[in-house]
Amino acid sequence: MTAGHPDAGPLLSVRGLRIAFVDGSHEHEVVHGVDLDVARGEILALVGESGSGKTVTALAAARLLPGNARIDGRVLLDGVDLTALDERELRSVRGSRIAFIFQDPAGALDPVFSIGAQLVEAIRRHRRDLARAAAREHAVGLLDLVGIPDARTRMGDYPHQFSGGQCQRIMIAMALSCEPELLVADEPTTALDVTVQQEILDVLVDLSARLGTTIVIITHDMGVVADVADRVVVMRDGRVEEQAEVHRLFTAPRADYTRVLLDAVPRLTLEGAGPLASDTHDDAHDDTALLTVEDLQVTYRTARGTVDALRGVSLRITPGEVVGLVGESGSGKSTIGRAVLGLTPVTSGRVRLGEEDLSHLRRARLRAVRARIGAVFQNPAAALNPRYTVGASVGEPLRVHRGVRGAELDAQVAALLESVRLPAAWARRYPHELSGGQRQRVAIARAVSLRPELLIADEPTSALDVSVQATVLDLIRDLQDQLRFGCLFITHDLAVVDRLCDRVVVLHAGRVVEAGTRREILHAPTEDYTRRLVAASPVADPVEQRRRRAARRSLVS
Amino acid sequence: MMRFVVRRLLELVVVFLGVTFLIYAMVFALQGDPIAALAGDRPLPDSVVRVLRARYHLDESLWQQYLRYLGGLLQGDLGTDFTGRPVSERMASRWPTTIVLALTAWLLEVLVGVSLGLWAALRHGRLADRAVLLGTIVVSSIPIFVLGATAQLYLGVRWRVFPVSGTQDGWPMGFLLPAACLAVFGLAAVSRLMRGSVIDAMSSDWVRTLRAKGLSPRRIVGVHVMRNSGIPVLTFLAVDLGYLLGGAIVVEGIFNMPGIGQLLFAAIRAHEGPTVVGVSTVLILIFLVISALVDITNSLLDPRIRRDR
Repeated sequence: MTAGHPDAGPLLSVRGLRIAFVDGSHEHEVVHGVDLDVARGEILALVGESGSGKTVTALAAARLLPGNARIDGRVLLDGVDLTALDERELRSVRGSRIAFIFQDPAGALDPVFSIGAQLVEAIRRHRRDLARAAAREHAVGLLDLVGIPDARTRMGDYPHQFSGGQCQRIMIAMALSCEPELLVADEPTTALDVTVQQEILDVLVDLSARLGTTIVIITHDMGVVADVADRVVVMRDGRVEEQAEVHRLFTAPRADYTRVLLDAVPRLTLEGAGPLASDTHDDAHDDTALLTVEDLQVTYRTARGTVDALRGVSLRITPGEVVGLVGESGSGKSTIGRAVLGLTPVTSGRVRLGEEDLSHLRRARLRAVRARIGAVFQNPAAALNPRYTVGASVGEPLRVHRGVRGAELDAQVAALLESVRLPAAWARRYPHELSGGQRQRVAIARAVSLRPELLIADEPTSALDVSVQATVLDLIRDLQDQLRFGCLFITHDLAVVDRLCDRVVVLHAGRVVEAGTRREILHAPTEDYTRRLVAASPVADPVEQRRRRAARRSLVS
Repeated sequence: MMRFVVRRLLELVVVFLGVTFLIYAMVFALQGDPIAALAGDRPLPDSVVRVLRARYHLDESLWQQYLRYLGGLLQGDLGTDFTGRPVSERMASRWPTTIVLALTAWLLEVLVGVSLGLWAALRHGRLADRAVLLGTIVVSSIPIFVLGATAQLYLGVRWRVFPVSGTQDGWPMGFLLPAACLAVFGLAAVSRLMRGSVIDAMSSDWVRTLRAKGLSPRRIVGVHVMRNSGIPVLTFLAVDLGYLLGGAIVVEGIFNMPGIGQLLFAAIRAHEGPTVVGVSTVLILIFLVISALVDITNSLLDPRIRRDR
């Protein structure tokens, strides 16, 4: 990206920034002296894991933090110290010179005002001379610019009538409405599907090129960094670990932490090198299927009518095989998992575990069969009873299904915790004393406590930080090697599939689009949809990402 | 939108039929013979009783009576009491008092409750907020007859700020004290509801977006938060208006106000079935129409409720 004013200083300059949250008399510092510069016209990525202070730092620039935050240090926008401005002066900066877009686009728009009203409000806030009609025209133009079809007729629609991706486009339109010099995008694509993520990132990069807007993008996704950033600032525990140009950061990281972060990123090995899991596991597979799903249809009834979540899905898992089920949100992938667990009524079709037909079992029998299936879900905080100790949660299946009690139970729980690499003494702790990754380990220990033949893992790592994600995936891999359970691994992340799965089933709109070995699906997909999915999932390699972006652009023009 | 309104009105009819039947059945089951109550100490000859029973259709089954009543209702006839006066006529003189009383109480709930809730929410966690929370609990835990009598004693008898009882002073002085007593419970609920929903809204992502747009706190709270938080509060307030109209019995008693509540109370004691049913029917109708209106207004305020667009 070309810089607007090559000779002038940086657009935004942060010096000695310290942020603390005051809770009663207790003060908790989360950012400990951050220095960074954002040059005019560049796209700067602010990277770090949860708790690194990256979002807080960016919000502090416009003093958008809650009232109990205390900010020290200086934030210079074009040489003017923002920390010295009073609220009133700051308000004329917000939205007009610094604009924001946030992670959850649907929640970031006021639900009870039409998007047109919200856009016009943003425009007229900083351009009072503009008449209402002119502001509306400008708003329509902005919606066109960010790619909302039928912009004029959709001005009167409300946020809930748009998809997540469209809401994010609307947020971008609103952020751009007063032609800000700096756009701060806080995890703008984290809540979105990969193909939608690609579209949103394209819009951002395109706008930065066309309008010369400087962008700070906050993310934890190295793929996104490689895709859009010119320069990268890596943060950890409220400090800057490293600042570097994007190519240099990926090829020659200086800080140890950057190296850890890069190593932890699950990579799609696009050229197909490296050993394939299926090669090492082939001996374990025999032809008797462990799980058979035949022509499964699930229809939900809602207030608006019926929704076909699954429209005839068939798949098979043999004992000891890890099958990845990938698809975007709404594809029905989680519904399959729920149907196998008997948590969703099946409209038609069959689900069989071995010889047992799960779809037509009576309650008591179903409970017994469920002991043969383990399950791990996305959000470990919600999946563990907060009032049970870790030991009680892990031991519950053993107590209920096997009748294990007393010292025998304690010993088995201890062994299970050690198998997921947690200290046995942690059995007495409560979930809130554990981190997200540790909680997920507990959930995994519980899932494998009965030595299940089948494990259903529904996005078990997508709520976790990358470095934690890597260790949890390794753990599942190791446990699978030891216990040889079959596994239905549900995920939206192809890189995770690449790391773990023998076979892959691609789901789209309730139907199986394509199924095959991992190598076939990831490296030689035959269906258009799979190809788009593979191409949209960003890899942590700036050179490859720039090649792909160029290819996409030549396709469009 | 039209379908939503029609469906809501159909629901209203079904609920109305159900509830009026229930009231009718309960009055039917009420102990005591209304004709005997009418006659006083001297027993009437059997023949007279039989004629009277036939005239007021007391010899018919519950179903027959109820259907006859519904038929009359469709023609705007609320029935006649045992002295031969139309129930509607007896109510007519009572309504103004009750309506003025209820509306005054309601106005207090809206003005004081909403602003108290908003004030507390914007000072979330500070002294003012805690004072409002504590105050609303204390006030709403006092039984209304204790509150009414105490207020009467101090503000009426001792300090002579308000009239002790009756409506002869007219609005506002004659109504303020009973209205305040009547409003206390709803007022506490309104302010807590308002407080909670404003606090929720203020910590939402979209308020952060509005701040990031550079809007002033006045506009964020006054336009966006009020419309979002107003929806649950409005629902409560509207339903409460129905409650205030029908629930004034105790307050009307304490302050000796000739309203609908007093009439209903007297009618229940005298086993005057037709009057009880007539008054109840009108109260139910008011209640149902108000809640239907609320749902329709809500769907105008909150686009997400308009499901079938």
